[in-house]
Amino acid sequence: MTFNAQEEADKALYEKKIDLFQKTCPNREQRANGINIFYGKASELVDKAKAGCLKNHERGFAQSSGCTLNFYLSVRVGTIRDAVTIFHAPVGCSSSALGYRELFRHVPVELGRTAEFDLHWMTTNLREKDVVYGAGDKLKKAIYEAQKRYDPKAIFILTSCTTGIIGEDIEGAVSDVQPNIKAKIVPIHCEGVRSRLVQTGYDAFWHAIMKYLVKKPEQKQKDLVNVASMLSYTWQDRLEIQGLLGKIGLRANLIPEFASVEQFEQLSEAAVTAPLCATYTDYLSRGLEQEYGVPYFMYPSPMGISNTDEWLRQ
Amino acid sequence: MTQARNIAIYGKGGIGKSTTTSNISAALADMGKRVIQIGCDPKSDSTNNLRRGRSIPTVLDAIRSGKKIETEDIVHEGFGGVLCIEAGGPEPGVGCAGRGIIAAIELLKQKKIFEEFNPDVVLYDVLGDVVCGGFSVPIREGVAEQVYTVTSADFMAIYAANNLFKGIKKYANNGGALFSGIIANSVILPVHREIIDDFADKTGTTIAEYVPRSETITRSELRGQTAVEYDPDSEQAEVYRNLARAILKNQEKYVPAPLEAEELKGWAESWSDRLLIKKEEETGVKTPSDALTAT
Repeated sequence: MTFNAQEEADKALYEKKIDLFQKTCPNREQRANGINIFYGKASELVDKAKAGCLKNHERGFAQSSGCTLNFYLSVRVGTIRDAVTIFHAPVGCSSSALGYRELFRHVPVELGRTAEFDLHWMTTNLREKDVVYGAGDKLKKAIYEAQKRYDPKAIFILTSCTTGIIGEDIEGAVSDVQPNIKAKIVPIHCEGVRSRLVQTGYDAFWHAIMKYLVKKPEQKQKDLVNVASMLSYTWQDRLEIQGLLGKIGLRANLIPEFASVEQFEQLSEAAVTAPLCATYTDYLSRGLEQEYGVPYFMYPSPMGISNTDEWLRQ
Repeated sequence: MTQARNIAIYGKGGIGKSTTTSNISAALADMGKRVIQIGCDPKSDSTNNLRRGRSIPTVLDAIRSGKKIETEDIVHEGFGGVLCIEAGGPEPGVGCAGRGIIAAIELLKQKKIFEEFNPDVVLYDVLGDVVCGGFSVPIREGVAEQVYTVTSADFMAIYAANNLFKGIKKYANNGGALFSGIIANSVILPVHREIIDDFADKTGTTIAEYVPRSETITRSELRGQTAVEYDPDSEQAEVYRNLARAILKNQEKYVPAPLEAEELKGWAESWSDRLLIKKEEETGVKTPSDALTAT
């Protein structure tokens, strides 16, 4: 399929139905023709993007970027309050998230960190034996331990290349233990080998949020604005957004950083979903509209005076 | 959209899974059913006999190419309009075929292939037995609901069938597929039938059909065809049509009771004794008593 105009490409993308019966999202390469490597002139890049026929170039090495798990999905999931993050992975996969604990603890409370923030981090620490024999039982044990230690409202399971390759039956393990676990278990399929585009990991996160965590709306909240992002702002920006929306009588539901589990549950009750950078959150925006009729817009991002003005008006 | 019947067919390598599956597909297509046959084996030759011996590009070939994948890249029409798909996989000795199956089935789901073609029956023809996490994907929740196994009276084939039962038992509580019957293949002598019947009895399973070994198959396969296509009036074609009808009718599914390793060994030895005694009776030659295994 090739497109004559950017609008047509956009249309085809936005009209694709999100299927929450599936355990996860399609990867970005398939869903949106995403690329992250291009050899050629900038003008060719623009022309091909407009025509919707950009191709990802194959090469045998990479010199930047992280993976769908660790650039930086894991870091953000770890900030969610009243929750535990279990990495179903070898121990190294979770090291960057662990490292961010110190960083986040230095974010001043007045800039948005909650005073009681602490990282509830666990890993199944997969080893040779687990790869050979499967580690479903280990995951179940970790879930029970998470419930016992932290009594959280949600338990996020982050998958890894290892579990992806050996074909771990994550859903099987989850459905087996969920009846005995108070917290809602949310498995996120962010196996690194699935995609070269880290946004696939964010889509997988939003997919899981909508599939497992968002509740049916009890009562629509007319003044609630979902402000979804993937940390594509500074801490000061959070205050600005809250301030600006506050002045026109609206409340910002800032997700996912430092959000509470309730904030995710009530995503369906909001008046609108506003993006800070639509690349990271279009899957959520479209899903919330499709499932619960929450309207959304994609552009602009609130940067600069005129765009911020436009964003507020939207 | 009508609910498709999703059926996985497992069995030891070389036992005749692809032959059986292709003939079932062809027979179903003859009855006017819309069928998708998915080969889940890196050899990717499951559907060849539906396409005059020609192989098709695989799902994993398409993924490997890095291009935007269109339906026509991976779905190819065969005899009687059967839609043929091959998961594909790496060359022998490299990579991970199991992960290949996971990626291929995931892609088929994401591309909404089943919604697009709205089949009556989907047949998964799966390599060997449930060797690893990847090859168990077809019997997990949301893929196949019913499983058949092809086995002969050969002990190694029965061993593989028993392993499959273990796999099914593992996923049974998690919404995975359940067992629906044994397809007894290469049945020539009455004793073959007795052995498979006895195994079914011991594992609490049922027989879907007895398929005799036949020249018709050899001839049809040399021409890259199914028996149903090559010689529709043959007895063998009728056997497959009966099997196809039986599969359509059979809504039964249950958890099999696999034998433990020791039980299976004991069972096999008891048959070895019985066969020796039979031979004595037939030939009149007495076997020294120490050749019989103590049971």
